[in-house]
Amino acid sequence: MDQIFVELSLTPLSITDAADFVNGDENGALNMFIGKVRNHNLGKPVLAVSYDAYAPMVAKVFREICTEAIAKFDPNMRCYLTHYKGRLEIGGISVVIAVGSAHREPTFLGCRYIIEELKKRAPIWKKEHYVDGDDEWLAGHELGLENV
Amino acid sequence: MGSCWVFSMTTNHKVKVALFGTFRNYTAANPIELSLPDGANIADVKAALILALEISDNYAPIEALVQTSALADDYTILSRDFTLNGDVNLAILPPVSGG
Repeated sequence: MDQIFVELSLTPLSITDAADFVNGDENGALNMFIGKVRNHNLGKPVLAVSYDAYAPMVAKVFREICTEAIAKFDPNMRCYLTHYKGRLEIGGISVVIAVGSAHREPTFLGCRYIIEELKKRAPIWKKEHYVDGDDEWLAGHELGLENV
Repeated sequence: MGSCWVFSMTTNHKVKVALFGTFRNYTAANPIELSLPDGANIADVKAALILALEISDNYAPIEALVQTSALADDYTILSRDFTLNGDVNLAILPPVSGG
């Protein structure tokens, strides 16, 4: 069984699928990070968020990040990483990360590593839709500087 | 007195650049198609992209955004030594904000 599952999804993300993937008789710890749409940002009431993504590179970067987490924290760890593409209303789940390991420490570290690296490296963009009818693409992290 | 004509033999290539995130605000044409000479580098592609986007709409100046964005093929951010040697499909990736 592959230790890694990654996906950019156009359908609602499943927490159950994530938990099932990283579960296993050898694992005594499962950890999960769930990102969801909140109703405010920087003092502005938010109605919804739309996610744009460069799909081919997302899949590659997601797998790279999970591979790195396994190498850093536990060679037997299982990692699950999915991100939504499209519009989500308040409470909608944008990202699900799950990590399973024999012990708890690698799962905490792995979850944290994966979400932080995703935010820096995955070609995904967030557009907030505000209650007043305005919308805005959010500023973010510059990707690698190889070509600038 | 005879005339002397010098012909340039430079070959131009089609460079299609897919737009994401805030770049989608600048034009309905996506991907945007550029024509660039053989040997063009990253700076040349970005300069042509700035020109194309500036004339495509009246949004705020685009140069700073292009310069802080990465050019990529399907799977990889282009390396600094990229040079154009044929038609190519690229993407311009603005600063990211997933999660």
